[in-house]
Amino acid sequence: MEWEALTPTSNLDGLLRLIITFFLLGWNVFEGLSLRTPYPSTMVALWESPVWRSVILLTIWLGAEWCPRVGAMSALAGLMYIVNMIQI
Amino acid sequence: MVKANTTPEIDMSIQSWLFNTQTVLQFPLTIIIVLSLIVTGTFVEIAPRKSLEFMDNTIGTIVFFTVPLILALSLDWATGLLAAVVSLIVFTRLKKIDVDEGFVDSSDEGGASDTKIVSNPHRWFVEKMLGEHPVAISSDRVITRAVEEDANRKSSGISTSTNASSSVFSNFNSSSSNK
Repeated sequence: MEWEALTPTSNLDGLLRLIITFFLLGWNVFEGLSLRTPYPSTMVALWESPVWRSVILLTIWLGAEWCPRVGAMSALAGLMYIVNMIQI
Repeated sequence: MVKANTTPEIDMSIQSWLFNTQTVLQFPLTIIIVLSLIVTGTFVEIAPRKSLEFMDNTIGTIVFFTVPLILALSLDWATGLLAAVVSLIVFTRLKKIDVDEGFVDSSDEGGASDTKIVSNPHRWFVEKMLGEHPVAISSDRVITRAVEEDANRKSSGISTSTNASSSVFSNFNSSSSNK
């Protein structure tokens, strides 16, 4: 990981990185890491689709290519969701 | 007028050859590995556990943690992160036992399914206490067998009593099923 990847290329890029990082952080705190909060029924129903699972993994890779912080948060969110779905 | 030789000198060392190979192949190798990881992570959930059991040991666990590190160092950080996620997904899949594995209830003779619909509106005491409302029962009788070795050694009177106890069991079950 290079340090340039952490630096936003513009103000809009930095704002988007900040918004998505904090959104995923909140998602992980209130949804992914909380066992009492069930996932939305749409996400549970979509788990059967291989396309949906591929999109999740592709999103993790693209998020990590874009910004390491977004990649780390999306990897945590995606991993929690997939592990919970497998365990069910 | 003498023209200057502008052809750059080619470095023929092994180090430069390896560097050039890595530079040229890094992008297609990254694409291939990312696609492989996505396919693995997508379909590992529906893969039978027996096909993954060869990784359910110490060597497999070491591979799970080593491959993401190698990919992160050789390719890029994002591919290593994806490999780590896929490794943990495979690890989770290995810890989940398939439904068709393990104990199979074949208490009924012949192994045929003997599920019956519960038509009696009265419930058992245990069912009332646990709040259960069963709609079907898979096995409603207990099959007992006398110990054959003892039956051969002892007299026929004991054997008769054993058969009598079996008939008592069957009478109990038939009466209980008609409650």
